[in-house]
Amino acid sequence: MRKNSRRWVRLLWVGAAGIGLGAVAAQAATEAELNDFLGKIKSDQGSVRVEAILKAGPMGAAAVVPLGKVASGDNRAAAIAAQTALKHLAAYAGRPGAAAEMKSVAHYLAFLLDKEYSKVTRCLAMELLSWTGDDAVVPQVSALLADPDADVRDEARRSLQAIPGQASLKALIDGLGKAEGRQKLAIIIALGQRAAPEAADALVALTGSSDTEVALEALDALARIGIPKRDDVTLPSWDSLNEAQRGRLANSLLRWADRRAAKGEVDDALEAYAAVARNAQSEHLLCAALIGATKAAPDQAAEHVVRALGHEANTVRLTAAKLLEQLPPDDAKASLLLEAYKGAKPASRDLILRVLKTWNDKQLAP
Amino acid sequence: MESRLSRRSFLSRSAGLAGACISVPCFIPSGVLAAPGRPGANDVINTGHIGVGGMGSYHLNYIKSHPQLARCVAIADVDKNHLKKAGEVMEGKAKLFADFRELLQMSEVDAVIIATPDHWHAVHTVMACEAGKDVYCEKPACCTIAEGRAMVNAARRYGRIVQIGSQGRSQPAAWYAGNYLRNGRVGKVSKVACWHYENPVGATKLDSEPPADLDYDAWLGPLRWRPYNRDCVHGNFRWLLESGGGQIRDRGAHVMSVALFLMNADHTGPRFIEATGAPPEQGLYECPPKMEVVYTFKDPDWVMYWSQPGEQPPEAADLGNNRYGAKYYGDNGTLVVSGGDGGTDTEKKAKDYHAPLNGVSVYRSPGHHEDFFNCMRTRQQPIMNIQAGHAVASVCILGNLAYRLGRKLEWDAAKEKFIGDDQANLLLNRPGRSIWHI
Repeated sequence: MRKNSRRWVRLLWVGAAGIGLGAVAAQAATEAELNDFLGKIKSDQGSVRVEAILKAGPMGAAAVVPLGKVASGDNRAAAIAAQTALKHLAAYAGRPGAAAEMKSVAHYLAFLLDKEYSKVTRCLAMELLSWTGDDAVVPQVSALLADPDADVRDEARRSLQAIPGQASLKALIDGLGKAEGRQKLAIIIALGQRAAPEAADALVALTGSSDTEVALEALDALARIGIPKRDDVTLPSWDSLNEAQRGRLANSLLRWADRRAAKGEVDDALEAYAAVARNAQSEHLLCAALIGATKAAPDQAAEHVVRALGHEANTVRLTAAKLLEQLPPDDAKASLLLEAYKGAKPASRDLILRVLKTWNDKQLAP
Repeated sequence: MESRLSRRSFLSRSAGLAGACISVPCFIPSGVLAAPGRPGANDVINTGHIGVGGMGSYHLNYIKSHPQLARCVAIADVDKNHLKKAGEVMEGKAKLFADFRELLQMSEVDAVIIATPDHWHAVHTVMACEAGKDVYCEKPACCTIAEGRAMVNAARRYGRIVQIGSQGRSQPAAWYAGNYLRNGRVGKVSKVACWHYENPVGATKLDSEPPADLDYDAWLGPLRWRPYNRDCVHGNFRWLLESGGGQIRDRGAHVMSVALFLMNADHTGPRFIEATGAPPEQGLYECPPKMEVVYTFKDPDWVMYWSQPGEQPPEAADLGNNRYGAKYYGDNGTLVVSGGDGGTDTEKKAKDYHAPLNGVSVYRSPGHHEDFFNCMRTRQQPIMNIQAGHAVASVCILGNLAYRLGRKLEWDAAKEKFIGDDQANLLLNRPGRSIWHI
């Protein structure tokens, strides 16, 4: 083993004890075992490398940095083996009941974010931190939001998006202010994916952006969070948007309505579904509004669904019929249908009869 | 926010029903009267194709040779060579796009056929549903459990028809086998043993700059960054865990799709999953050449094995496409179904069997594309709808997760969460690269 590697191993032992991880380090491999392991990772025989990979887990945190060096080296086969070994090690450390070990591994994975490691190794480390990391590694990861390499910046964002806890969320919110272009959009999306109410204020501010893309993504992120209605949210006028943008706004409203309905805020949901239905020029958005409204408030939506049986679009009519068939039959809905039948066109009449038959069969079923 | 609207104005745009309808007798089924933008019974469906490489070119040629089913009007691909070739196949009659988002904006496209690498399936499908298109998406449906759930939710939210390309269920042999098994001809099935040949082991080509004809950033899409390597793109995406997941996710989505179909288990999932395997001894590919996965299902209790290479049962010797398949073990007998994709076959005893009058009736698909296009018109669920596709992909994904984590996993299928394993739960989802998300 090279002199530098032995020095690294000694430093790791000192470091582990120094930061109170001595107990974890004591369970890990001995120096001799670690050296043997690293030697096998660098073997020119594939079978030997695989044997080492399968034993990477118990090597513990002490193996992370040396593996990172091999993963960044010029020996391609050894680099691939080291990368694979790191994945196995991270997985092993995350087993139930090994929280301290996982914390230790994450601590050393954060060292691999340094520029001395290859881009592939740095990005791999961020990927592994996304399922081993916690608040403690967030400062090192979030620093890479400002890396000169766009791929590295995005991997940092991905990692923060996945690392649980408040520190990663705060780092994303803080990063929003400094980001531009695609990175800004990606962070907005990440906050929506986290569905974090803490991000609401920052996102609401962006709904007024002159950049339509930013504004629309911010609205979608807020929709995923499902915030209560706020007066300071800027909704663009439908007429100011092109068709694709109108579709995106409608999708966000539908998503928001679904979230509000799931929280029991039925009035909010129905208002949003109604807005989509009124402004949507596509049958699929009307179908979505009907589907959502029926799920949120079946009795209140029934009248509208019945009227949709007469819509000009085949898909809307069939969707309406399916929705009605899934509802429990009662006299009120049956009356609506019979009333609708009187003025209905033949295509709609057929659907009304189909629904009534389904309800009849349900009631007759044992 | 906009001013509050009365609930009665919900459908104000459609309150005054449009135009003249043809006056016809009531016995003509609904859906025959075509409405703007959606196909009636006699309208040809317009398709847009996203991804026209290997399987994509198969679908393109299928549609072209079945003009009574559908007509391709648009194609999108990130590889200029694929796009050019596809344009030539369509003899200039389809619009060509480098960016699939432009294709999705075409109002004349009724359905999209997605044959991109697996890591794009979820984003393409969700965005297509959001654009109002019905979707035929190649298998496996998705790469993560969260992606599959997003696809199901999108199809449900917009009432879209989504068919996943596990066409084994639409093969006659699957119907014969379904009749045979579901009518109890082998008794209660307690074991399903799948066999499949090993994953390939690749060479160690060096990374390089992507070719000028390929938009590599677009090819990666939601997949986390990796340097370009010729051995990792196009069809070879299959052999990397993050993109293709190996045979268990590629062909497993065929073999185990038929298994779940025959076992009537689309609504369930395994309770325990255990996997063994080792990485390849050389090369860039990560998927273990040999692999064993045990899936334990509860209520009813049965076990499914995924074995690479496994052992081809003697009954499969005379069947077509027998390099992979599954054997079903019941109390009173067994049945072999070879293949699981377009080349599915089964034993003669199943082909000769006729279900009794009051027996279990298994849906017989008219053909996988045909089933999809029929369901577009009737709005009924196709045989390999997205819920089934998500269930099958989940089984494949869970097997790979058990391998990657190197431990037995306990799965709550109803909640779609692992029990007692926080790290495994973190792997149910993964953030998309750049702006691509579900």
